[in-house]
Amino acid sequence: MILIFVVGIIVLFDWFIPTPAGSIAGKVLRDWNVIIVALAIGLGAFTMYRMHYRHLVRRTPGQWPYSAVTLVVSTLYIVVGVGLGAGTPTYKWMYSNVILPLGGAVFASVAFYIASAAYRAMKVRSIEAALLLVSGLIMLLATAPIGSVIWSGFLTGGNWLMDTVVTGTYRAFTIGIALGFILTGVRTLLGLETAWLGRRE
Amino acid sequence: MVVLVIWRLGRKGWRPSVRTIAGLAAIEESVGRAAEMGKPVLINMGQVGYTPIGVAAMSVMAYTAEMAARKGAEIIVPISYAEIVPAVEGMLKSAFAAAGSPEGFRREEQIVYLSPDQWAFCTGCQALLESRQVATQTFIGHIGGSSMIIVETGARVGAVQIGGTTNLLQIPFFLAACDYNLIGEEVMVAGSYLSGQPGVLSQIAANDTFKVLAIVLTILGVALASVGSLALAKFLAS
Repeated sequence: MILIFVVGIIVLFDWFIPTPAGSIAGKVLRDWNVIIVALAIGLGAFTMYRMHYRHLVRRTPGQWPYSAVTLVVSTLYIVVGVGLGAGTPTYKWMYSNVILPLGGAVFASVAFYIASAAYRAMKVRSIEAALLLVSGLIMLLATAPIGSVIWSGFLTGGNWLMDTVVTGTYRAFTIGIALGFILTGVRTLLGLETAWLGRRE
Repeated sequence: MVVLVIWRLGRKGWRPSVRTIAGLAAIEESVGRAAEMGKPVLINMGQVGYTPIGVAAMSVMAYTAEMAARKGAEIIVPISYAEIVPAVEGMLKSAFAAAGSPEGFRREEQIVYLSPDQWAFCTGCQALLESRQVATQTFIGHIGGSSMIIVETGARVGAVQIGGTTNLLQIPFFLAACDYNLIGEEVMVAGSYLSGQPGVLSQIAANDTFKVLAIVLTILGVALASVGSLALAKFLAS
C-alpha cells in the first residue's frame, strides 16, 4: 500500500507540479513500468506456449490442430522478429499480409453482428423499445443516401437527435465516468480499494 | 478529504441507501443457472490493465468467481493484457479459498491468456463461447469495436449476459445484446456495491457527492452564461 501511494504521488506530482527532480523520478518510474510490462508479456507468452503445448501433446479433441497452428505461427514471428529484427521487410511483410488482413476481415464482420443484434433488439415490446426503434430508423435513414431521397426531414431529424439527445446524454455519462475514474484512483492511492489485491477490504 | 471522511463514516457503520443495480443483482442468479446446466461462466473483463476500469472489472471478477465457486460452476477468465495475470491469479485463489474450495482453483483451465490484439482477443472469446457453450457471460470492463461480435456470439449460444463498459461508443451494443446492463459509472461502483461492506459501500456516496457538485456547478455555469457572465467558466478553466 505504501509503495502504491509513494509511486502514485510521485507520478501525480510530476504531472501537476513539474519539477526537475520530479520529472527525473517520474521518467524512471515510467521506464520501469515499460520493463515490467515487457516481462509480463514474456510471462504471458510462456503461459500461452505451455497451455497450447499441453493441448497438442494430449491431442485435446477439437483444440489440438488450432494449438499446433498457434505454436508454429508464434514461433515463426518470434524467430523472425528476434533474429532479423521487427523493422525488417520480412517481418513487416508478415505483419501487413497476415495480421492486418485477418483483423480487417474480423472487423468487416461486425456489420452483420450489428444487423443480427438490431433485428433481435428492436422489437416494440414497450414504450422505451418503441422509442429505440423509431430513433434507430430515423438515424438509419438520415445516414443512408436513400433517406434524403425519400424525405429531407430524416436528415434534419437525425442531426437533431445527434446534436441534442445523444450529445447531452454522452456528456452526462462522460462526467459520471470521469468522476468514477478519479475516485477509484484516489481510493487506490489511499489503500481503500484493495479488491484488486485479492483482499475483501 | 471527502473520500476519507466518508470512508471513516462507513467504517463506523454508516451504510448509505443504495438503489438495486439489476445487473449486479443478477450475477448470483445467472451463475446459479450455469451451475445447474453444468456449463461454464465466462468472466470477461475485456481488454483491461491496471487502470481504474481494470480495478473495477477485477472486483466484479473476484465476486463472480467466488459465487461460481460456492455454487459449483466452472469459470473461464480470458485475459488480453499479460500484466494483470498475476493479480487475476491471486484474486481467483482468494475467491476459491473464501468459498471454501481452494482446490477448485485450476490455473491452466480457468485463466486463458488470449492476445493484446483486439481482433485476436475477440475471436478467442468467440471460440471460448462457442466451443464451451457458455451458459453465463459477465462482460464488465473495457472493450473496443469488437464488443458487438463477442456479445452477439454470447446471445447466439444462449448465454445470459451481464454487460457493462465505460467505453461510451460500445454501450449501445451492450444494450442491444446483453440481458442486463451496467451503464457508465455503475461499472465504476460495481466493486463497492458487490462488497456490501459499509466501509467500501460508503464510497458510492463519495461518487454521488462529487456528482451533485458537478450538477450544481453546471446549473450555476449555465445560469451565469445565460446572463452574459463567463466568470465561473474562466475560473474553472484556469
